[in-house]
Amino acid sequence: MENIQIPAAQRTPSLNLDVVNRLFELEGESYPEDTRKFYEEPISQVVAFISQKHQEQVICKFKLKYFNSSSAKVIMDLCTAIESSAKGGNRIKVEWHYIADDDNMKELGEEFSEELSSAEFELIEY
Amino acid sequence: MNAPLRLSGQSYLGFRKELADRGIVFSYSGFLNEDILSGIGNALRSKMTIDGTEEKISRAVFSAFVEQVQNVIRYSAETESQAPEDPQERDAHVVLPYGLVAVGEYPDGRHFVTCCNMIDRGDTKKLIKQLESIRGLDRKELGALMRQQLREGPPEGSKGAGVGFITIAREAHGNWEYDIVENAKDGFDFFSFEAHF
Repeated sequence: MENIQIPAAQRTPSLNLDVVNRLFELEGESYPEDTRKFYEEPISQVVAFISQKHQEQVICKFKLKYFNSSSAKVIMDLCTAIESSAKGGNRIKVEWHYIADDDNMKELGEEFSEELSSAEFELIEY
Repeated sequence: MNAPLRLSGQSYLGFRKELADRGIVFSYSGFLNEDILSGIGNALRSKMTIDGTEEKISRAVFSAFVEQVQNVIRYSAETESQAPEDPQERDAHVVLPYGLVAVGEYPDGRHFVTCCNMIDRGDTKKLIKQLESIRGLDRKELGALMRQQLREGPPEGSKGAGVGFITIAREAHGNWEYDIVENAKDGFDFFSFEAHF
């Protein structure tokens, strides 16, 4: 499994997978012109990584300022993969970062956390 | 009003005044693509920064703008297109949908985002059903519905995640409306949607 490093662009977030440190990060804004084209390949790799057997904790960090509804589908698919991996015995934590006054982003995090029971979830204000 | 046969500053001034009287700050009517979404979206954000619009409002307005313009791009029944010479080159297939976008502020200070486009008359019932199914739902209910739809996957005929209207309704705290002008054009109904913030 290889690392992924996609830098942020105007309408797409930075997407990083650090295999050694077991860290996945999605940060910035997400409203791609073509959601599938941007996400399909890297997310299938990330899901494959999450689903592997891990000895130590895996962290999935979401630090999004804005995402559109097509991107929400990608986040849901990730949550499903994360929860299923945690159910399978892995220790996985989702960190949902939001700007201090952004109640909407906080609530969206709370919504996605409803999908997680075996995986850990933490809301982090910044 | 009949279009004048030569340039008339007076008529454009009248056109501009009509937009201003409706509180419209940004308007676009014509063929749309994702670059137009980016361009108007950036200018809209800049304008709200200059105006000192509350962050909470400006984020919601921008979100509704993106969802609504993407709806027009995906679902406007009025399009022009050019197929690529090589049918393998799917990305080269240019499709230009026609639609109308307006963003502005009512005298009472409410912001609005409006989009309008033609839809096939055959699709109108389904669209009405979809919208009526989310009418009156509160923010929490809309959030739960959003999750359910995202989990279950897009409904048939959807070109996105199928949660665009739910997202807008949630951000607008249920303050949205729509209108349909039947038979606006041969085989088409004219669909208008507006969200208030």
